[in-house]
Amino acid sequence: MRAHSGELYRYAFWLCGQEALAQDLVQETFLRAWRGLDSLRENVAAKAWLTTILRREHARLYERKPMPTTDIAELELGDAAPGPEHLGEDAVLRAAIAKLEPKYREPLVLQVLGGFSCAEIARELRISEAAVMTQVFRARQKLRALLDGETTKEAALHGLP
Amino acid sequence: MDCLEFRRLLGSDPHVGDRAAREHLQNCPFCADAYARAQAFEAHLAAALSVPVPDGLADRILLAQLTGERRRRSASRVRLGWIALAAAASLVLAVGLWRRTAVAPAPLSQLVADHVTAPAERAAWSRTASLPEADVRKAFADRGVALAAVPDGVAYVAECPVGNWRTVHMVMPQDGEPVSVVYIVQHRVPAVTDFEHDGLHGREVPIRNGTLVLLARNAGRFAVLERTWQAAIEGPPALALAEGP
Repeated sequence: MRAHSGELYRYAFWLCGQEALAQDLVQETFLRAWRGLDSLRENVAAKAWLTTILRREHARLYERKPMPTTDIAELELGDAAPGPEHLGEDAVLRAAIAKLEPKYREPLVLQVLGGFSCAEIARELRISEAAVMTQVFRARQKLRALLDGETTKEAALHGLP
Repeated sequence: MDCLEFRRLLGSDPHVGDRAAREHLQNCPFCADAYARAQAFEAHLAAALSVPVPDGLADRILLAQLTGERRRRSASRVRLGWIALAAAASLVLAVGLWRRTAVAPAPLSQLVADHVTAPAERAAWSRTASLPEADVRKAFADRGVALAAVPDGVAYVAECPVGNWRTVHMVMPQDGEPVSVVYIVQHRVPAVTDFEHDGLHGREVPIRNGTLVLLARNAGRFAVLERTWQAAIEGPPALALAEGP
């Protein structure tokens, strides 16, 4: 449980955009996983299994009762242990990730944070592998475009070419 | 594999493991440069996605599992024993005639008491310095509650899951003794009830759509805290309007 809680929390956070709700989602995921432990046949599949439970919980909570939400794009996120040189960069990139549409953000998070392959993400999201490849490709393109825009704005602010 | 295909693959999975792609990478300096830039971007992306994980998250989940399981087992026993339930209902009816009376801990009180006395949470009792009002407001706002005012002297605040409930867990030192104050949102008990738990005094108070639970060695300050939090959550009592002529 300890091995997966941090990773699941980060995934939950990028799903819902709220720290408190992300914690609740992770807790509910483990409660459900605990009750259904018998259905987990291979320990190596635990991460994918927990991810599936968490996604279902997220969908169930939103379907059952819309919660007060904060626009994820307005979030101010702290850095775990930022060096001064990365503080600004991480903040800009996080804001850009938050601006991505969920259909681009979710497969990207599963790939980069979860380490899932495109085929595994396709199974999880119930879409084709080709669609996953297209979405993560476009997600990266969009991030680069957003970052380039920010860099250009910042350069203009400082009178740089 | 040509450059176009390699770049497409690089954009969808930067850790290119495909044999043909690796061969192309070794033979094309332009794609090798693109690969190096992609790896740097991936490292940056992974760092940005790794938002900080709240302290004590795993401990809280373990505790919630423990208390959640206990509540589930209790519920199961109640379902099986309908005769016992009927008897309990009669008892509740009798006890309900008394607004404030000491009874055996209700499940909610039990869960909250288990939570605030758990080893992972005990450190909160030693906090004495008051937190900024904004911290308390944020914790309640995250739970969907807008405070009309923030009571003085909140030394600890955390958004804790307790069983299946969402709560704001606080500690407010009173006369040198810690008082645990827990507000459970979206679960309102029917009446004010006092209880005992392992030598601690407790009180459940329905406030708006939720329940405030107070827990301390000394119940002497409960009445003041009850009124203070009632005003903070519900707002000040409406003033009687003077009737016109």
